[in-house]
Amino acid sequence: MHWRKYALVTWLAVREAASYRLNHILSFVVGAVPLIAMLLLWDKVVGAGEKIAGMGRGEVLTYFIVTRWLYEIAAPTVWWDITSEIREGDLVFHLLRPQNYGLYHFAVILGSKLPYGIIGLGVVAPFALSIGQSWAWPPSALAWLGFGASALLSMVLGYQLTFLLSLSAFWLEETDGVALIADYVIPLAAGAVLPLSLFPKPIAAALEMLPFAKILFFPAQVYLGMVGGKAIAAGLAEQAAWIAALWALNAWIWRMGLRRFRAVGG
Amino acid sequence: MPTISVHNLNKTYRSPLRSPGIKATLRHLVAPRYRTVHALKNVSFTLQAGEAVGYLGPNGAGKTTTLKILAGVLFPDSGEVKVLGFTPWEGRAQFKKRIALVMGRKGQLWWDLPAMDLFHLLQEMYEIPQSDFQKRVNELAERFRVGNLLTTPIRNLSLGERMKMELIAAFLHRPQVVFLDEPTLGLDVMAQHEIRSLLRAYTKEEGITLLMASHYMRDVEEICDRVILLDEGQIKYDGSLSELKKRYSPMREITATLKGHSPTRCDLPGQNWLVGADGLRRRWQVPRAEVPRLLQALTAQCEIEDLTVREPALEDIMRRFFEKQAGGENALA
Repeated sequence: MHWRKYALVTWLAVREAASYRLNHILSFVVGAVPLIAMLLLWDKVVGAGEKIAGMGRGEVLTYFIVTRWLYEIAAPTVWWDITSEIREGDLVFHLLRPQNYGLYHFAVILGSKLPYGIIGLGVVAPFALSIGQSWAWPPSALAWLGFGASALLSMVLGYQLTFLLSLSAFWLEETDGVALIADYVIPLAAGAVLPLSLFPKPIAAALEMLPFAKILFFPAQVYLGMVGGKAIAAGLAEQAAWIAALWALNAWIWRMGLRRFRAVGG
Repeated sequence: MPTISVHNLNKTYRSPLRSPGIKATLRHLVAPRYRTVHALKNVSFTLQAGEAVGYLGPNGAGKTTTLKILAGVLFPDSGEVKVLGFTPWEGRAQFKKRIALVMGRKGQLWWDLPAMDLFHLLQEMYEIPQSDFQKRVNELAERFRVGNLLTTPIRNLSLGERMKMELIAAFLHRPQVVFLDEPTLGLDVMAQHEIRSLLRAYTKEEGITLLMASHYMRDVEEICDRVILLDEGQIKYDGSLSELKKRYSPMREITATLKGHSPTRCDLPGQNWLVGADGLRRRWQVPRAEVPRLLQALTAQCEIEDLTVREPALEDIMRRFFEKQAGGENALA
């Protein structure tokens, strides 16, 4: 595999994202408004010294800030580049070139999300400061390490889902419905709206079995030191397993979609 | 062995049939009905190495479909295709590295980045060695006169400049076979002319095998030696441009401006062929064989200020050709 071309794609995507930096900052700041509301709410809900879902006030607030940041870098969405290329037929150019389409767009997404992640840190930082003393750091080196690893796997897992959702454009003329599901249901299922442990038990158990929980809820738990060494290893393995499963599913769906695209004319 | 050989190529599409109205819409949701479109019917032709062939036909004739199949992007329903010895749709990297497809309606350039960035990416994708790459970019940029624009974001370029960048991007890896789909679409006359002469010179020098679909007959006249006419998915003519003109434009147009104040002063020849009179100007449409005789008579009997003999534009020939086809007359029989 020639990694250099994909590294270059990532770099170009970073540069392209940079040409819209103001737009990025604005969307991030606007996107932070619900976060402010959420923090104000939870600040009132969890009294000093109280615990909810095993978390103290500081941890709950930190939880929402951390998942917000993870959401920015790893959230599965319908990726407009892919859906428009399929719909408008520009996919042709990718088929002409010696390259892997999935890796190409992973490189693009990585390149567009990395600046987001960094700008995101800049936006998240004031919130972290605003809760001051109550901000929770990972309690151990293991938690740091585990968080780093799980955040990386989150990005890959998020991308596999993004690719899957975007490939729906092979069959759907309009992917807005899929995008709605991605933008409203996934955050809920991933634990961005409510920590999963606050759902009724059976629902929480079901949600934890889905891949979405592995994107936000699990890394945030690792960050807060709420899971131990064994559970971290198991969680990382689950992330990897989901990535492998989705990768295989995507390869299959891509082949079917491509067959359709190449049959109907693109 | 020909560079491109196409044998009995067939391609059909299914396109949904939708009638207006709520009932029809609901019915379509439950049991969609389709219409089968025969995009290509038993199309066969070959191209030798270095040949430049124009691929002409009205909208929907199947031109783009053919090009996409030959470039390996679409599957045919049936038929045999070999391009440089490869079956295109198998998608071998070795095949991809030796062909290019340029589409006037679409581009592969990144909108917000300069062309040079895409060129670097293509260098990686096609594994072009650094020394060759630099030489190649310089050479092409100089030839296409865009050397000073390589670092300008694409969105700030004119349509013509963008097309030049697309062509450079397509030629960077030295493809031996190039498919062009309406390469001058939407360009102004100057830019069209420039792109044409660049394409002609470049493909000839590099010995590129070229198949070009276009609506602009000038594209074909300037770049190609041979034309294939396609209508409703079938080949209607395959041969030289001059032969096509000979067959389908038996008439020449003569325009003469008469000297003096009154055109009635001279006895105008060829009254049967006269098609226009405007002041002192007269127009005739004359069978080719009759042209010398009419000219002789004209110059002998009248004082002439200006005289032109024009071959009908390829556009007119094409129009006549496809009108005949539509009229059910097999013009080639």
